[in-house]
Amino acid sequence: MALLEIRDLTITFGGLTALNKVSLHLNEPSVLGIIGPNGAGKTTLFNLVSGFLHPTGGEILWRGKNIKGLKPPRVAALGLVRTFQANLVYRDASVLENIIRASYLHVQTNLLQGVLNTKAYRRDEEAIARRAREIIHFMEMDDWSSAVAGSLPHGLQRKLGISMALACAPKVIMLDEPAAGMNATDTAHLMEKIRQLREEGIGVMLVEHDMRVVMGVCDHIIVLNYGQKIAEGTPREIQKDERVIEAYLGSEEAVT
Amino acid sequence: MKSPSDEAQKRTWMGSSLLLVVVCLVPVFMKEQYYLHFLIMSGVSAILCMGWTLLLRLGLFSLGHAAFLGIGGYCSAILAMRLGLSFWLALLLSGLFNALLAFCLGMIILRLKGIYFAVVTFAFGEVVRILYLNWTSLFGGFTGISGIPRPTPVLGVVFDSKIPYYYLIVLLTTLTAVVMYRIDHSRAGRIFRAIGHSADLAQSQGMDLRKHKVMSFTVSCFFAGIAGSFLAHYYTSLYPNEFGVWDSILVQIKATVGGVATVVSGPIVGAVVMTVVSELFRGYMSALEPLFFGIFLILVVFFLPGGLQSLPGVIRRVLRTEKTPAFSNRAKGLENGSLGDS
Repeated sequence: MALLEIRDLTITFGGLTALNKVSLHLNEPSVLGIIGPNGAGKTTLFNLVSGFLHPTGGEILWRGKNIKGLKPPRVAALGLVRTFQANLVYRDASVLENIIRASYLHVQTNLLQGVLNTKAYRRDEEAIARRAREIIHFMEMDDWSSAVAGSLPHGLQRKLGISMALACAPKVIMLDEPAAGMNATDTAHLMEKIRQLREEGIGVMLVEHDMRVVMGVCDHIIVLNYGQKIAEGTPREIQKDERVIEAYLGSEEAVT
Repeated sequence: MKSPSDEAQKRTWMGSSLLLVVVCLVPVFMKEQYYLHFLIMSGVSAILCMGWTLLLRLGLFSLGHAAFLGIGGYCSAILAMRLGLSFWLALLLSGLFNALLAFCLGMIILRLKGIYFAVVTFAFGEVVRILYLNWTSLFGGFTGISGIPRPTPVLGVVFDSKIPYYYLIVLLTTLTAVVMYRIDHSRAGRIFRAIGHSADLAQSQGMDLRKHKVMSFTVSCFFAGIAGSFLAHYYTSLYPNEFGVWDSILVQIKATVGGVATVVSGPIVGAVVMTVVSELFRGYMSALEPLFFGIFLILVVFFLPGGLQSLPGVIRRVLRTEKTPAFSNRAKGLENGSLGDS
């Protein structure tokens, strides 16, 4: 049974069909790339899967169960966690605090126990802080853990976004343009992390414009254009696909 | 192993306990009951302001908080006068009634985002006030309810002067402050801040917006109800126009002037300072009160964005830069201070 399967996913805004009968599946922890020109519907796809938008038609199956219509917190609780294209972080809080805030999805104690400051709650909080530090270490941000998130350079804010998603204990993580605006060093580092995530059994869905990243880490790629899936296959196949080249560069007639 | 934040929390608890002792000694030195009244009203106001600031944590801007004070008051008065319940039971029940009301209302209106919550709480406050005015048989209409019984003596304490009221409101304010502090400094506070900062990010991390908003609204209004009940049995009379829009805006002004970076200290400082000033205006200068409050709010927002509670920190920073010779540092220190505390 597929981990995540999407069948004929469609959404229309007024007269505009932003996604038209898109299907994809993620069988086991692997890296699935979703590429396409601007406005192709990549982020819309993430918004639909994560519950921020509700599809007009089609199905989203999580381990065979239809999760269409679930609200974002419920989707995240399943283990299907997303990041955002913009640098969305809790700007006024430290890096550690940001990750701790993101860690409350799978806790044993409740808010009342927190107010009463019970022993179980304190133990829970200690475990959360410990795990947050592990995530910071994994993302190699140790030197920044007490820095205020809003003051971090762009590349580190992107990394913090991924760290927070990891704090939600994802089974599948949806990365929305993680390399946007990153320099070469950060990008190389990001690619290494994505590979490590796959090795640890976390599925990755990657929307990205940087083709070095996409071709470097993806096992499988689907290509969207104007809301339609126009191609899918391995990176090698995609690079040779004429429809893809046409979508990106315009058709041969137009070029010549 | 103690972390620095543990140490800071310990200092906060110790400082607060010391302050509480001082507050409890006030009636011993201040024989003039008239001035005690100012402090009693400050306590009522402080409870409201803390609740209001708790909502602000989640980005909820309430413009009807005084209405919940009124509901608590009317509820308590009716329970005591019609059903003959003792004040102590009525106090608890009016808090619970308010909480229940806030829960039900919250389930409906807390789907709303941003400005709409402010609009609906504003409208709700007015609807309730008009209900008081027109449902004469229950709420007494324009003349309100009078002859509300004083609290029944408890543990030998008889409520025949301002002093027992003073200790009672100190107790209630302390209780509210402790609960609010624990909420703000535990997981709930973290989640509330997360939601207030970015609803999208919080949702993507599994936080349920409505659940937490309803929760904070319920807690906030519970304490407003308690404060309202106290107020009713302190004044022994209630008038609909005491719980209007202006009174709700006052709550917001007081909290902002005190500083909303904390749920407890800022709102309490703001409530005490502004209530004392407001009570001084009562009588011949009452028409000037809104003008004064408006000017004061503008001054604080411009020159002390962290509110009055950030004043000691700002002064300390100014004094520190004073030692270095350059005069321009002084202005810089001020600027940094206000930025740092906002």
